[in-house]
Amino acid sequence: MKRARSIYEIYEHLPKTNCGQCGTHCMGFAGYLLARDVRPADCPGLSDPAFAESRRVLEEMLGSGVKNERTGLIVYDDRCIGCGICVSVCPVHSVDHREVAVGKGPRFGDGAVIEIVDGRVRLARPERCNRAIPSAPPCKACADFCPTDAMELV
Amino acid sequence: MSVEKFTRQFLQADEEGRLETQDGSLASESGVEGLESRVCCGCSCLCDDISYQMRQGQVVRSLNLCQVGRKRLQDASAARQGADSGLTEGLLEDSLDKAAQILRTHGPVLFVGAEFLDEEAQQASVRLAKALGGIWVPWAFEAVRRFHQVACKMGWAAALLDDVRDHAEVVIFWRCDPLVTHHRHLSRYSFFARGRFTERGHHDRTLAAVGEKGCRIERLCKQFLDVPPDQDRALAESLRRGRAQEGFAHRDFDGIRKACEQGVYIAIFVDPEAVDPGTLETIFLWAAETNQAGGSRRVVILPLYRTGPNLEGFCQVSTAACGAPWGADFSEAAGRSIQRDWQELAAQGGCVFLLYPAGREESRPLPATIAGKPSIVLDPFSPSRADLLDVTIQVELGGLGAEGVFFRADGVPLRASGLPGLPRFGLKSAAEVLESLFTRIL
Repeated sequence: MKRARSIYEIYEHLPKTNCGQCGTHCMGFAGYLLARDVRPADCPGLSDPAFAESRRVLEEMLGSGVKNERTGLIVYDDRCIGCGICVSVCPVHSVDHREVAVGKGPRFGDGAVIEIVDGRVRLARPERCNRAIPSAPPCKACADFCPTDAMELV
Repeated sequence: MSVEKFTRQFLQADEEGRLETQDGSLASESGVEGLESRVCCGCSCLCDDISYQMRQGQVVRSLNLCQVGRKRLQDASAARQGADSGLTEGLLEDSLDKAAQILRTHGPVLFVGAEFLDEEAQQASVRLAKALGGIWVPWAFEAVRRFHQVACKMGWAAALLDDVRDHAEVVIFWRCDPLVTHHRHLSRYSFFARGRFTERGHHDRTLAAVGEKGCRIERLCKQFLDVPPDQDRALAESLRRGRAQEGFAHRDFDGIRKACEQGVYIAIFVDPEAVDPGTLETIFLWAAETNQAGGSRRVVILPLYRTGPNLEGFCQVSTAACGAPWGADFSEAAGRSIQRDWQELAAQGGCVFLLYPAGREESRPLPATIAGKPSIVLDPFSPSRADLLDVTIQVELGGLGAEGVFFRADGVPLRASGLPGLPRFGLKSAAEVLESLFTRIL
C-alpha cells in the first residue's frame, strides 16, 4: 500500500460530511491525519460500518509508526532492512563522526542521531537532529534516501 | 532496573570501549558488557563495525547489524537454546559416528557449501574431500566459473572495495540488487560512503542499475535501465562504443552514456549468475580497452555473488587445490577442476555433505537430483540429529560462537573473532567437526 503523500489522498477516504465532531472540518482533519497528530479512529464518521473499508485504507496509508514530536520523524519498523543509508547521509554525522562519513557505523556512546539497533533504524538522539533546531535549514536526508520507505517526515 | 530501560539511557564508552552511565554506577550493576568492531559473516560485505552488548552470556543488543545479520543472529541464538540441554556431547559423538559410516559406505561424496565456512574449515573440508575422493563445489558454482573464465579470457579489472569508495564516480549494478542481497553495501562501500576523492559521497557519484522494474535499488538510481535480459549484450556494446547500437534504444541510455564518458572511474558490480557470458565478455572488453588506453580513466568490475560470506576464500582454497576457483574433483589422485555442470555432479554423488544448510535465504534449495540421497549437514541453526541415512551436526556459527578468517569479495581477509563470554554448550566449530570426521574415517 502506497503511503499517503498529500492531504487530498487522505481527504478522498473521509466521510466529507464536515460534521465538526472532531473539532474541525474534513479537510482540516485530513491535514491533522497527514501530520499524524490524530488517528483515523478519532473521526466519529469513520466508525460507521459504511466507512469500514475507507478506515482500513487510511490505516494502511498512514501506517502504524509513532511520530517523534521533536523531529517529525516516523519509523516503520516492518519496512526497515537495516541498510544504514540513513546513518550515512545524516549531515550531523558527516560533521561530527568521520568514521560514519566513510562508511563505518557508529559505536555505542558515539552520540549518533540515528542508529541501526537490532537490525532496525532507531532515532537515538532526536535533540541532535537538525530538525530539532529551529534555526537550522529543514533536513529530509534520511527519509529521502530510504529505499524501502521505512522513514517518513511529517 | 530492566536491561531495556538501562540501554535506553545515554551511555558513554570509555577508551577501552567499556560502557558506563553518567553517574558511573549502573553499568556494573546491570552486568552489561560492550563489544565493538566485531565482524558479521552474514554476507560478503563482512561488516567489521558491529557492536554488541552482552549480559550473562547473551546478546541483548546489537548495533549496525542489517536484517540479514540480525536474522542470522536470532536463528543461531534460538538453536543454542536447544543445545543448552546437557545432551550435546553424547549426541555429537553419535552423529559423528553415523556421519563417518555414511561417508565410508556411500561414495562418491559431493561436498557443497564451503563458501559459508571460515578458511580453516574450508581447508579441513578440502582435506576430507581429497581423502574420500569426493567432489567439492560451492552453491555458486556456475556463477564463479562463469566470472573467472571470462575474466581470465578478457583480462582482469579488479579493485579493492576501499578503492571503489575512494574513487568511483559512476557505480553500475548490473542484474544485481545490493539492497536485497548485501543490505549495507551502498552505505559502506559503493555509493553513499565518502571517499578520499569523492568527499561528498553520493553527491559526487552517479548511481545506475540494469535490472527488472520494481527492484529496490531503482528508486535510488539516477539512471535505471529496465532492459530485457536478451538486450544486455546490446546495452554493454553500446556503452563500450559510446553510442546506441542498431536496434537498441532506451530513454535512460543517453544519461548513463554521458555519465560514463565524463566519469574518470567507473565501478561495475555484476551478478555473474544473472548475466550471460556474452554480455560479461563485452563488459570486460570495455574495461580492458579503457584501462589499456592510458590516461586516468578506469573501469573496474567486481562480482556480487548472491551466496556465501566467504566465496572469495573458497576460490583461493580451490585454486590451491586444483588450479581453478570453482571447485575440485578429487576422484582421481590429483585434484582437477570441474568441467561438468551442477546437476550432473549432483546426480553422480552417492551421498551429499552439506557444509551449510540448504534452503535458507542466503544458500540454495537442494537440486532435485540430490533429494533422497543420504546426507550429512553441518547446521548452526538446528539441533544435532542422527538417523540411519541422514545426519545433522549442530556447529558453532562462524563469527559468533566460532572465530575464523573470512575473505571479503575483493580478497581482503578479516578475522571474525566471535563473542567471548558466549557459552559454547559443547558445540564445536565446523573445522573441529571436520577434523574429527577425518580422524574417524582414516
